Amino acid sequence: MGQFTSTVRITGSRDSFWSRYSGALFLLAPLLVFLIIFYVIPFAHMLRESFQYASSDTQAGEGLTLHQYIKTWSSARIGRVMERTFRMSLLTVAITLVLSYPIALLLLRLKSSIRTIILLVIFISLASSLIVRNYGWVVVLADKGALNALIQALGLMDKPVRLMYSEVAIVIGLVHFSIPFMVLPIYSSLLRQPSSLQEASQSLGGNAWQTFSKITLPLSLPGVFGGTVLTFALSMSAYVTPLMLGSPSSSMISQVAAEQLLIQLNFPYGAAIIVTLTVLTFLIVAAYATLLRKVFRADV
Amino acid sequence: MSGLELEDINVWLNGQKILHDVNISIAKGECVALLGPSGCGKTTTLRTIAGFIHPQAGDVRISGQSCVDLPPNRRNVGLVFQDYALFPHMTVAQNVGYGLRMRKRSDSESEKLVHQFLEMVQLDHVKDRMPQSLSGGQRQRVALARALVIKPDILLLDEPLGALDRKLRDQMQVELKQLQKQLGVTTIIVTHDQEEALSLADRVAVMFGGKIREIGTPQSLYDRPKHRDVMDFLGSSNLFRCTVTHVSEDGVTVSGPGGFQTVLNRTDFQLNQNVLVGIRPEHLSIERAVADSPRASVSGTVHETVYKGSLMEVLIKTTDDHIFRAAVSPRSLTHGQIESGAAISLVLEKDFIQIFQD
Amino acid sequence: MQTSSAAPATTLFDRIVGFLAWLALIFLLFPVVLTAIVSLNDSFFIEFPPKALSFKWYFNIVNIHAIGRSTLISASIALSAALLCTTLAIAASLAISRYQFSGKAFLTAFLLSPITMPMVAVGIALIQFFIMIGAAFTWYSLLIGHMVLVIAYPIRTLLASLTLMNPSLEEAATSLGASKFKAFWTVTLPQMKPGLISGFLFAFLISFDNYPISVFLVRGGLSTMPIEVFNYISQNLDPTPAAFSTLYVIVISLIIAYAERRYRIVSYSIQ
Repeated sequence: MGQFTSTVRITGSRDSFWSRYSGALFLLAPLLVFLIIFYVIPFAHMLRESFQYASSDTQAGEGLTLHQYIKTWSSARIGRVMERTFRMSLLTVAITLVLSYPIALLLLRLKSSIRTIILLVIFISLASSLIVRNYGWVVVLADKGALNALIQALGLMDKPVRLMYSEVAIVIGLVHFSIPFMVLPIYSSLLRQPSSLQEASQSLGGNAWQTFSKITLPLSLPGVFGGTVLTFALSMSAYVTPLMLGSPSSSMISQVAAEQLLIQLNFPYGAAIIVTLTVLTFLIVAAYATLLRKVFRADV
Repeated sequence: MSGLELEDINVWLNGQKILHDVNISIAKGECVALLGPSGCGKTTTLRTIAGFIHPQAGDVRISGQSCVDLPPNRRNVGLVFQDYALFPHMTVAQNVGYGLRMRKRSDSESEKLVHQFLEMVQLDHVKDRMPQSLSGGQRQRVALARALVIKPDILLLDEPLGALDRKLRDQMQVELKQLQKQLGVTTIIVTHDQEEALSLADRVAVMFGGKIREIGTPQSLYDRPKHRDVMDFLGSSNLFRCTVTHVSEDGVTVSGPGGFQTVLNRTDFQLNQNVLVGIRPEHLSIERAVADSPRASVSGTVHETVYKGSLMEVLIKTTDDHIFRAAVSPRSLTHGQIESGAAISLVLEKDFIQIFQD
Repeated sequence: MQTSSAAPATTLFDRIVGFLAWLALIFLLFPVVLTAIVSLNDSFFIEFPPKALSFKWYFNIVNIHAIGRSTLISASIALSAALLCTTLAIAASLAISRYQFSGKAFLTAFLLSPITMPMVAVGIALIQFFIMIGAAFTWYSLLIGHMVLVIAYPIRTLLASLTLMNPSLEEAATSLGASKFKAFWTVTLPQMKPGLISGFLFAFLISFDNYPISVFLVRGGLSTMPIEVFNYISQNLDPTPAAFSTLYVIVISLIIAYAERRYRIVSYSIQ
């Protein structure tokens, strides 16, 4: 799809580098310059900073060191928070997947008018302010909020259940935030499957579950991969949601980093924590991609 | 012994009636083609047989058993899709073995059957390849093997030769027919290509507007169609309006353009009634104009000639501005016989004159 | 006339999928609807069900500290960021889709990477950088931060738009006498419109709503709407934020619904 053979410039080996690529360079230059100055350099600086001593460190001195990283890895608190963040992210991905895949399947089957409405709801969810959305969950999960009112009305409990300011609330908020990011890639990968494949499976004797598990699902893995990776990355680095729905005992790693940077003003340490988070997330995602490619022969 | 029966099938889709009282009875082992222009309902009929469409009225019986309420995976049909629908994430062997796995056959048994059927379509050597690496013709044969390995009661083919080039098509035509006869599986082919239908099927059902117009052997449909639109759809034809000019006990005389006149042994026409006469170009032969010939002929001048390799199409224009089309062998023509503007007569072979109500 | 469906019967699997899907959709809408109900509650506390209805919290929105000024700042930043990023993205996506060069996949991944970077990291890296070059806590530094945040969105939608486009259209234009630039302006650009609109819209909305990057880049008089709303939430218990939320969602819904109606952005963002 989208083979640009006619407008892609066919160049010979005799064309100079300049004449071959000047158009592309000209077009890309502004953006690349902008990103290099305001994206690469600040992060490079932050990276370098993570290898330095902070002014508050007892071993303060010039030169590069692994001190901050050693501190990160040996801190029990950071270890706990990392484990918590990782656990909550995995949970979020799992729940979001279980809720989002059926939505994607449903979208396939609906009439186009209802389908557009549901897609719009998903888009509006995506575009709504995170503050607004999390506040919605505060309203629902508060002691006097809607969910407790429902639970008491149904007679399940006499006292309100404490849901707010906990890991549970954060996961609920994260799942709510992530559903659009999961539904859309899965839906577009489902759209790409010709319906004749499912029909072929049925005509050969496969029932609904078999057709789904052996044909639809494996072929949708690229979309599933895209959605789960995005959800995982967003959850691992979540800041606003745990800030609004959590408590200090349920804090996630971005909050710890922000605390070091803003309150303790320990920039090298904060930088090291952030770098660790980013690298860890990247490694997990890479391992995940390899797993899907090798074991499930998915095209990710 | 019945292979497939459709009884009074009526289907509405999106508020439109697609199939009107479709009835057909196919014997076991027979190969029937559903032929018609796009939109005639042939694909809908196929999908109804397969179970993807549930008719609002009517019954589908396979081998005598009603299956109209069964979902597609509980009917024993083998379907070859127009785009072949090979599972891209499975090898050829896994594709072919899919139906067997669904039927819980043992691995060793499946392997044997897959091997056997891949050999039948001469593709055993690619059994571990992925479908994307195969050519169109190879993919089609894999799709065929996959549908046949499950020993279906009915084999359904949707435009089987459409995507293939000329040479491959001719080859597959023969192979398909042989395979069908060898296995004796009741087969239904859906196609808009008349050559496909006429060459592959034992009987052809021509469909227009959601109804079966006429069913018959390829020969009878081609040579002696009972309906004018069937004649019009199959091959080329000359269709022209005539009037009944004389009625007697022996028959009726019809007269038409270009001096056409013939006596027919029919009693169901009235004097001065309009009828439609049809004859195929290959049943018109060229003779030099002879006045008052006793045989059915039309005369006029040569209007146009089209050389088509194995035959020459000659179009003549009569004095009353009607065009007749004849197809003759180029070798039978004498020099100057078909020069533009030359006076010419075409003789109509009486046996192949078809009459239709107007 | 028959109206019953011609589809085969629904299976247990279909039913379970349908149930889960509708459950998920209700989950998605739940907080929005409930917030709207709470916003109409006469009482000071967040409680459910509301005992009396009133619009007073909507009028109280003006009492959110600096809500007017911060919203204006948010809007101006979002608009500028969206415009600039969309323009940069047009150039970049054209380069990527029209030219062949090695490392294209790497370049594309790089350009799209800001989405997956922890926002806290972006905010903090940038504030340090701006302090270093002495431009911290200015409107321009905030703008740059937001541009880094949203640049990936128009690139994604424009790349999708361009790969869907028929390349022969531009050729037809040039064969009819249009210069390369004219052909681009009159033929290619209009074809990119849905990708443009959806990219712009996303850039705008995501910038408008951003908290983590803004909070590190602002100080004093420079503030954004999410920051002021968040501060209000942390300091007050009344349902004013509920009214604000509801208003915000209504306005967004109208904008997106209009964009879909006019430009069919939904189909172009599903890539």
